[in-house]
Formats: sequence, structure tokens, C-alpha cells
Amino acid sequence: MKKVTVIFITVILLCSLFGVNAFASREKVIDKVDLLTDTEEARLGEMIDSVYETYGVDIVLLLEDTYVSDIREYVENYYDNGGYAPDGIIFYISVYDRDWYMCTSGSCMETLSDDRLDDIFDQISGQLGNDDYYGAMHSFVSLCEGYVAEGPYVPTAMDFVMGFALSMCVVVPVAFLIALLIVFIEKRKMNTAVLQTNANEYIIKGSLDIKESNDVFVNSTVTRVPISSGSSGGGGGGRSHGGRGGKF
Amino acid sequence: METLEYRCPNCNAYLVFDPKSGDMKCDYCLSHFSVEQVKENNDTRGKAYNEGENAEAPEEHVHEDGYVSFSCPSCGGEIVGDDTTAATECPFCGNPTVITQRLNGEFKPDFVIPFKVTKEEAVAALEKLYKGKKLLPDAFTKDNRVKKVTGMYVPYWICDCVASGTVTYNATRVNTFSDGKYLTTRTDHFNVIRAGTVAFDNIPEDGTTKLEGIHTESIEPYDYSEMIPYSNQYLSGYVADRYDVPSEDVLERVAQRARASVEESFRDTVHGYSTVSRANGDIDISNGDVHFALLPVWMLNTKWKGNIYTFAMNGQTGKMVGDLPVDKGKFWKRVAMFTGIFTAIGAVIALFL
Repeated sequence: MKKVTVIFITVILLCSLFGVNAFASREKVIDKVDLLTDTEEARLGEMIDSVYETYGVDIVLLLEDTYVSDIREYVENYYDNGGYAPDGIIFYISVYDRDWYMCTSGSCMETLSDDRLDDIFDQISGQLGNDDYYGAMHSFVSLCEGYVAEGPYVPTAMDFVMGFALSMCVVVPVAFLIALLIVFIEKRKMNTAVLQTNANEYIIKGSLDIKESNDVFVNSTVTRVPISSGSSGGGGGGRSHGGRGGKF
Repeated sequence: METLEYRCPNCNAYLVFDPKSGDMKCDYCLSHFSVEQVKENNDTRGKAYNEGENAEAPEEHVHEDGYVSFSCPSCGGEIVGDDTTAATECPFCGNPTVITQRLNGEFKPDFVIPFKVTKEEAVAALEKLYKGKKLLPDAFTKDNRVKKVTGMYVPYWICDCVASGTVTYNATRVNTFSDGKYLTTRTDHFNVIRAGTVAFDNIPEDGTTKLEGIHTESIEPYDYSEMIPYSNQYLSGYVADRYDVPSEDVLERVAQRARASVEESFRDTVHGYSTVSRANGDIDISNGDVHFALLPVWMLNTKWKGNIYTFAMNGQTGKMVGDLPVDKGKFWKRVAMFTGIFTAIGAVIALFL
């Protein structure tokens, strides 16, 4: 009994010493269609472990060859139910229809914002297009690591100016249209001579005699629309995710 | 030609109808006589010229261009009108003259609503109409003076009718519910039918071609509780015309307005639906009594930049209507001002978002 206790305590101590916990033990390179060699998988796994050990962020690569009707829901559930760290990203590739989807979770929704995900995909789309899956995965992990190391994007003064200028591009035309509407109403009030449209003033009080009042039911039409949670920042399985996807 | 003028029994000056007191008033000695008094004593206090019976009756001259003139019974000056002019005044001596011949027989009005608003009040109302009009050219109010103010008894046809018909609507009732995964929308479609009748009393339509319908309709309504049987005395001091549009010609417009009201009345009884659209309808109008009445209107004309601007005022209720000119410069200045204000508000919001 003493031996068992000593072994258990030793394992716990070793885990805490080397920073290994339950999240780290999950499979993070899942290549169901053998697009990667074992060596490539091992190299990517090492890179992903390194990112996790340094930043506590999980990067999951999921390569499949199956048809999925709702990719976003599938990928979000895969990450949520896979026991991965709260902060992380999963990159899904399906060669069936050449779909890709990147789903972020926790702090990665900020560090790997939609703009950054677009940027990442722009940089790896060429490799994916040439079926260089290892190259694409390698670049993906490196780029993610770079952004995670950099932290959330901090807007610069130029961003502020550009954002303000963009807002003004909308505000000024809208302000002009509202102004035009107000002055047109003022202009309309300049002419008070208008023809009467009815003779309501001259209806004899109580003379309205409704002799027939029938409301006949004809038919019913029913439409059902799936409730969508939006393309980014939506909720899936109770957790919030960001994401980007498309075809390669 | 049969004309009539009313003279003050005290000073022999003209008597005119006074909107304030509702009496006949002498502007010279300020005597007042009730309309009934003047009516009863017309023979002794007034001076009537009856063609054929009175040697002093003025002779009517019909001109080629359609205008009609006759000599003023008072000063002999030429009074010009047309074949519908029923009351006017001499442009030389101001003598108010009622041409009773024009309001006889089929042209005799059934009713009249006497003036209640004075000329001064009409001019003041026009000044008030200018106020607060930010788009009005400055020069229009500064340089502009009212060129002509005319108190007119306008010939109106007062029509009763009953409208009956059926209107059908397509209506929907929409219910939306969610089971968490799907949003289900159930739309129930209905065929709604309403049939019935609505009765109308005293719908007015002008019976003259001299005024724009847009003016005579927009100064409605008149208070018919003050409408009284016609009497010549109310016309003294004002311009009046007999109708030159027969009642048959205004009935279609009356029916058009009545139909619109029936549609609104029926539509107001259709409740409880998400959407309602009119499918079809058929409304018949059966015309009732039609009366000829003279209703009071102040017509004010101003001239600016070569254009004549006409304003009409209900001579009983004081409701004034008209079309004011718009200063294009002011228009765009105000657009720029509002654009600036809303842009500033938008900029502040954008800064904090």
C-alpha cells in the first residue's frame, strides 16, 4: 500500500514539475486520412506541445475526409468535447469537399482575431492549394505561435484615425440624408393648400352600418428556419467561439 | 339689370355686412341695423333698382371678350364683371352692389354662411402664416405687400349621399415560436369581408371655375350650424358669384371623397391581424339632397418676382391656406446646417464607440 502511495505522489510531483497536465495529454494532431507522415505528425506535435507549455494555448489540427453538414458546429463541438484547454484553436481540414475551418476559444478569440485568422489563411492558402498539408500545418502553428506570443492586437493611432475616418464615411451621408428629409418636411409645410382625400368630416355620426362582417380562414403556411448563432463569436455547447472558414 | 344696394337711413351712406357684429353697418355714421331690420324695411330704407320697373335701373353691356359692365347706380362709373358676378363694388366710389338678377330662379342660393372674419383679421392671419417659415425668402416678407384682399361668397354645392358597398381584404395572422433549434413561423391566411352603408351630410364642392379646387377644399370644414337661409343683405360689401358649374358636374368628386371615407370606415373594423391588404371592393353612391349655398372666403393675392401667390381663408373659421415660395439658398443652407449638426453628433458617438 505504501508503494502505491509513493508512486502516486511521485507521478503528481513529476507532472507538476514538467508542466504536464490533463490537457497536454490529449491528441492534438488528428490525421484521419494520412495526409501527414508519422514523422511530420511528431514534429507538429512537438511544436504544439511547446506552444502549450509556453503559453497554455492548445493548437489542434484535425484532418478528415468526411462530409459534414454544419462544419462550424462540428468543429466547435470537437474542440469543446475533446477535453482541450479553454484557450486554444482548432484547424479543421476536410479533403472531401476541400473545406477548412479555424475555430478559436477562450483568450484565442482575441489573440487570434478574425482579421488575424484571415491573415493566417492568406499565408497558407497557397500550400493548401498545392496539397502541401505538412507545410500548411507547420506554417499555421508557427503563425499562431507568433500571434499568441504577440498578444491581443493593440490598435495604433493610425488605426484610430482610419476607424474614425471610416465611421465618418457613413456618418456624413446619413447626416446629409436626415438633414435633407427634415428640410423637405419644412418645404412641404410651405404649401398648406391640398386637396381633401376623403369626406370623413361629413359622415353622419352613428351612420356606419356594417351589414356583413365575415372573417373566413383560408389556409395556413408554416416555415421552419434553423436558429443560427452567427459566423463568429457564436455560442456552441454553452461556450463561446470565434472562427473563420471556407474552401481551399 | 336688377341690382340692389343698401343705404343708411340716417346718413344715406352704404350699408355693408359687418362680420364682427353680424349686423349691417354704416362706415360713415357707424350706425348698426340688424339684417332682419334691413330686410323688412328695404323698400323705405334701401334703394332698389328693378329693370323695367325703375327708370334708374342700370343697363348691362355685354362685351365681346365675355365681360359684362354696367354703370354704378351711385356715381355712374363703370362696374366690370362677368355673367356670373352676383355682388361686387364700384371701383370708383366703393358702392357695394348686389346684382339680384344673377341670383334668381335656379341660381337663387338655398343657404349662406355669413362672414365672421374681418378683412383686417385675414391680413393679420397672412402675416402670421409667414412666421416661423425658415425657408421663406426674406424679401418676400420685407418687400411684399398684400396686393388684393377680396371677401368672396363662393358658390358651393352642398351634397348629401349614402354610400353602400362591399370591400374584401386579404389578411394574415403570424405566430412565431422557437423550440431552441428551429424558429417556426405559422401564417394563417384569412379572407375578410365587410359590407355596409355610411351616410354623409353636407359634403361641399365649389361650383365655380374661377377658383382652384385645391383652395376651396383645403379651407374646409365649415360649421354648418351657422348656415342660414339665403338673404341678399349678407352680400353687401363683398364679391359674390353665382355657380357656373352645375351640380351634376361635382357629384363625381363628391362620390370619390365619400368612397375613400367608406374604405377607411370599413378598414377600421378589421382588427387583430398582422397584415391586411385590400383585395377588391365595390361601393355605390346614391345621391341625396343637393343644395346651393354661398360660403365666405377671403382671397388674398400677393405678387413677388413676377409670380402671383394666392392665399385663401375660410371666412367663417379663419383657416388659412396657400403656397409660399421657397428660397433655394436658404434650403441648402439649412441642409448644410442640419448635416453639420448630425455629423457632429455622429462623430461624438463614433469617438466613444
